[in-house]
Amino acid sequence: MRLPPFAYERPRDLYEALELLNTFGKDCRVLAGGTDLLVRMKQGLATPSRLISLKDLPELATINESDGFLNIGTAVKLADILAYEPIQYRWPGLLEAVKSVGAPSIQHFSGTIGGNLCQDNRCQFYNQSKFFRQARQTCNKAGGNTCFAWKGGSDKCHSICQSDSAPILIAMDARITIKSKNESRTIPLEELYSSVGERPLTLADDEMLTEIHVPGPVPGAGCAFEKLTYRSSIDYAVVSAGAYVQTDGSKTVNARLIIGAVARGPLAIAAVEKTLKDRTAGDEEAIDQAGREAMNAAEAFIANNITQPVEYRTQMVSVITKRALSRATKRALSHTDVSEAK
Amino acid sequence: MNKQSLEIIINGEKYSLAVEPNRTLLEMLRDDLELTGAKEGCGEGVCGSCTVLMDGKPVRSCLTLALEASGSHVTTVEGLAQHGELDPLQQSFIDHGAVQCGFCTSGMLMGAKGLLLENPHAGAKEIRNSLSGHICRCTGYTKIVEAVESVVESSKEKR
Amino acid sequence: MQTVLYVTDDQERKGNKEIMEEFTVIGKRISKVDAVDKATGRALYIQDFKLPGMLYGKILYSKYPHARIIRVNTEKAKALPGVITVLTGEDIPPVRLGVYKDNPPLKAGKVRSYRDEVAAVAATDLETAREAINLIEVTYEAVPAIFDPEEALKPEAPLVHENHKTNLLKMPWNLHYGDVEAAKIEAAFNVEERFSTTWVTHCCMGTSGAIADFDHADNLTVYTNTQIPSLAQKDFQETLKVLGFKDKRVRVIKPCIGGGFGSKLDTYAYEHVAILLAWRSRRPVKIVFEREEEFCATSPRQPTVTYISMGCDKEGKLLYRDMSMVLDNGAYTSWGATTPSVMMMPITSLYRVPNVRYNAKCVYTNNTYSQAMRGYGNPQATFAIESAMDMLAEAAGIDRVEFRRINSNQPGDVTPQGLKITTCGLPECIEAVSRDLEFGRPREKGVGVGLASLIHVGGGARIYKSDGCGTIIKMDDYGKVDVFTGASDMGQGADTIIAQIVAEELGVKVEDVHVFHQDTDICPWDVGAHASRTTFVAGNSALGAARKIRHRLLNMASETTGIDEDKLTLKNRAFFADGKQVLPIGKLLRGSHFKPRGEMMMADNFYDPPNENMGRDFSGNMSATYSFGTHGVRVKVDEATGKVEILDYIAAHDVGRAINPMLLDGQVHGGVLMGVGYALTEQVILENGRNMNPDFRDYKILTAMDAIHSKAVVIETVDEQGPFGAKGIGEPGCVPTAPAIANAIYDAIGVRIKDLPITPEKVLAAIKKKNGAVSCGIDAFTQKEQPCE
Repeated sequence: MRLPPFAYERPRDLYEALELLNTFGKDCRVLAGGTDLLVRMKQGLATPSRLISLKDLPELATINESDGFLNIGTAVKLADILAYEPIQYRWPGLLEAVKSVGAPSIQHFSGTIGGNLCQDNRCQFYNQSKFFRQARQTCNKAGGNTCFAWKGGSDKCHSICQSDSAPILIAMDARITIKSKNESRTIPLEELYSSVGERPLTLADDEMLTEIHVPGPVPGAGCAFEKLTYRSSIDYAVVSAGAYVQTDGSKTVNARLIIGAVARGPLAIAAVEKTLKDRTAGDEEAIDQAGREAMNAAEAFIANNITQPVEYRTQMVSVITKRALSRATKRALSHTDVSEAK
Repeated sequence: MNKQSLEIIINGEKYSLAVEPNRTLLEMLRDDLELTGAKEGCGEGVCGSCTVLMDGKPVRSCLTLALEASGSHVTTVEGLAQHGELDPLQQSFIDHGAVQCGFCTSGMLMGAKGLLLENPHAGAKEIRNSLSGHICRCTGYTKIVEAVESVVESSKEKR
Repeated sequence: MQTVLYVTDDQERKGNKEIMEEFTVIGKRISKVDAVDKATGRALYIQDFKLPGMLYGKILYSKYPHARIIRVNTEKAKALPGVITVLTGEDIPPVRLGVYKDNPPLKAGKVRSYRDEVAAVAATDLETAREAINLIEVTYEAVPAIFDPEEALKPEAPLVHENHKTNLLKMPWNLHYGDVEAAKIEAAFNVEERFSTTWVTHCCMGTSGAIADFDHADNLTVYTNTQIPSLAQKDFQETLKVLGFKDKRVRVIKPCIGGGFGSKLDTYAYEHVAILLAWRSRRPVKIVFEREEEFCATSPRQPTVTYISMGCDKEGKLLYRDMSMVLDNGAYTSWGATTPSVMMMPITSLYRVPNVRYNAKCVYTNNTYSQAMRGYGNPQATFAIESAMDMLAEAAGIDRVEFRRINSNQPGDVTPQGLKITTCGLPECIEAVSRDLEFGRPREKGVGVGLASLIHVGGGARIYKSDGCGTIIKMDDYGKVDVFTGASDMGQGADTIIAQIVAEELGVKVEDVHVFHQDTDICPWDVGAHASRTTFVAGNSALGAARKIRHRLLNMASETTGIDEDKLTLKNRAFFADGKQVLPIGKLLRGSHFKPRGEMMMADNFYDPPNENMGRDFSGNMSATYSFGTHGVRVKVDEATGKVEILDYIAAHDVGRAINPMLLDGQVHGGVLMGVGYALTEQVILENGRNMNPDFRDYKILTAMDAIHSKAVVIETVDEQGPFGAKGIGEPGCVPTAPAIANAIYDAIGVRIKDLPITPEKVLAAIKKKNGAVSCGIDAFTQKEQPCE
């Protein structure tokens, strides 16, 4: 498979990069690790006339901690996140999610955190070669007006967000910085996702995600990421879940649950917080109920967009939810004093 | 599309080249430089046959633009042997029966090399994990993992 | 990983040990002779070949699974600069491929599957060829298509080949030995079940490819990935004949092959398209598949639906086995359609069973067409047989291991099909597995053990009139040996095994032996690398040639030294008498032609094993010996997700003799993991004939992280017919894996999965059904409620 022609830019600083984005807008794409974008370009799913490489922008490739936040530059490689030692005990949920991305030698040395968050939505009818797609009508995501993943068709695209880091980072209340030539804004990560399959990110054409800010651990809080796959490596999630649970040592005081790989964006299950709040932390009945709620909420979104059956994925939302919440709760209860926990 | 210039060190040799922006590192190695040791098994970064080292880290050369490798040190399987001496990993692959059809071998070797450069004491689980993005249809991986383990063991003995 | 050596009894172990000590090369863990080239990047695959003036070919495939081709407009493609030749089905003479000759390399008039080749382009570079393909405009008129082989047998089903009048292939696979109906009445316990298996594919890491090149006298050279150089030569010769070339030479050159597994047992359209493009353009043309093409346009293992009934008496002795099958042949006919010939072997002869009946229907559909794949039907048949064995044992109230002991094949048996069992290590394999996995031990929740056995041809298989292989050996002036074999090395290590056999016989070192296998101009004839036959047949052929040389060497050495032949031994590159070296081989060889009436050291040998073609009733001893094996597995099932984890795996095989235990391990471990994939994760998902998962993300080959802890146990029975006692072992590793796992899952959680692969969703649905739940899930593609199991 060959890449189509394009122009290549390797800006020396962020300002130059943003200026290029400003000039060329939707005709150009940011090239980080390339593990998502270059495959789509080979398949003719993305046709930018210009790529802007982040290779020479070390300012986007740093990890540091300040003001209680872990700040990760958009071009930080997944391998570098795994190698950042404090993550082992302070952000174990993020560690689990990053570890689970693809396979170590594929994604970890090339793939970046920004790339993982900004990857395009996927669908088994869309992420195929041009030749494969030619045999059918053009689907919504490819600019046509039908959807093969939705029973009976649909005027909306029912692709899914397969980012593994998004559910856990949203559960952890991460924020992101987005920059353009003339503006810089910091917003909750969940606002990056539009829930529109055709265009899953809210980034404007001249904008770039530059940094992720992850809040430091809070005493009594824990998080966990759970991902169901058929193989131990390579696979995208059948269902994934990021969970955040905060306790007062015995009761749950706050909880957030985000389901991945079922909807057009990471799917927040609002009911879970209400269900768990003020219940004994780790109460099985409460967690079971949360699992059912997550399943009920997700059911409406699950389309035939990956090779595993819809019914099975729906059931698995409950199982994966419960596992993520249980582990997050366990961590919450054992990490009452995070500064010493190791 | 206009060619752009590229300075690169491949297997210790310096090259000044000009390539089109859409040239992948794999295409440049195989088609322009006739370094055919790296193989294209899938072309979309899944199978691992095209793995080479870029500044000591394993990368998929089929998903790396040649221009992105500009300024880097690239090592391919052809550059693994030094001064006519096989790399211990190559020797171990040969001795342990880790090579069958051989198509995945160069990628496997470069993946393993990347791992051992990073962690010379990697255990079986780390080896399996780190090679899990390299598909092999012949060996069931057993002999490959044993071959890498054996290099780790003998480097321990030497110390 | 551990390798344990057992032999069948004390006497043999003793005798065996004595022999073992005499061997210098046989039985040793010797590195593969091609390993250095492959580990240094020097080995050349078809991908790496480039000829001067070479063009690049691309093929345009069908947009429909079944349609009439109304018009093909190639004008725009032809006008593209760099395009040298464009061909459609209308432009070529009537070349036909396959077992039935029902498959033109480029289709005219009608397409019958998505993989149908409609047009082809040769251009000066690959990008131009790709672009040109996209410029070809084809107008189709879709016609009703059929994808389910059982549906395709109904009278109202659309016909895939109109002139064939029916979708049922006219291959009457029917056998009946003994009296099954009477045995059914007699049986104390019976089981009756339906099993199914699905499409899986070889996934060779090196994709398919060929280069065709004519010289000025119209002789043809084809560089191609093939397991059958001599038969490919014949196919290409036939294509030349259709093109009007008579008495031309066809040379087949086989580069290093990135895996075979049965995929290269036939010639394919792309090879003949390369020839046609080269013929038309008068330039070398190379076609290499991309991965998606490899998934969509090569031929997978066919799915089967199997109905089995089996019964035993009160003591647990099998009385009958009655099986019928429907096989999806796909749109054209290759070797996939003949796999029932091998399925018959386990059906009639795995365990002692006096009354057997079998019939198989191969059915045309608008799916991709099927091909041989490691095991040649045996994995599908054994899945049904060994699953049903456990069910019958349970019905009879007999322990599963004991049940297999009672019915085990034994040396000296002649099975109802007429297979003559000579050496048979099956009882020892069963013992090794049951001892190792401690079948009796108390179970943890969700954990279970299972076992399954296999029989396979181990001494060639007489599919054709000949099952032979030729070898030529010559020695140079320095005692180095060149072996020209008909055998095909595709990564399994045939070259190494042959080098070991020759080195042992000629008293030289393995590195003194160079095996040539890659060129029909140089190498003698062979029917191909199939049926696990290479070690046995090519090994015996090489051994015979080496013996001739050895005989002459000893004869000459005796003349030269004046020492009696029977007092001379040949080892370490020299002749020895009374323990002392008397003459180096090289010196003798140099002397042999530097003299009047000199001679040179060369010998040939054609070995055709003493096996039989099947008769009209399908009986006959198809192989000179049979391989046996038993696999045992301990699994853990996650009952919430349905995921199956393999905790322990043991594969015991009767291999005759391990010529090279290291290569043998490789065949077993590789076969087992392929079998585990077959059991749990692998499937080509066809949606109305369209391959939905043509990539390694969604076609789930297991990874190094999934690879299981497996233990290979080798039982050496030292077969009289085998070279140094060896039997074939290429395929058996993947044969009993799926039923062993299915049996272990049943043991663990009490649900029996009868359809492969055993995916988490199927396990979960079965658990729900067992627990009384109403729904068993919605099929992702049909969006319909799926029947439980």
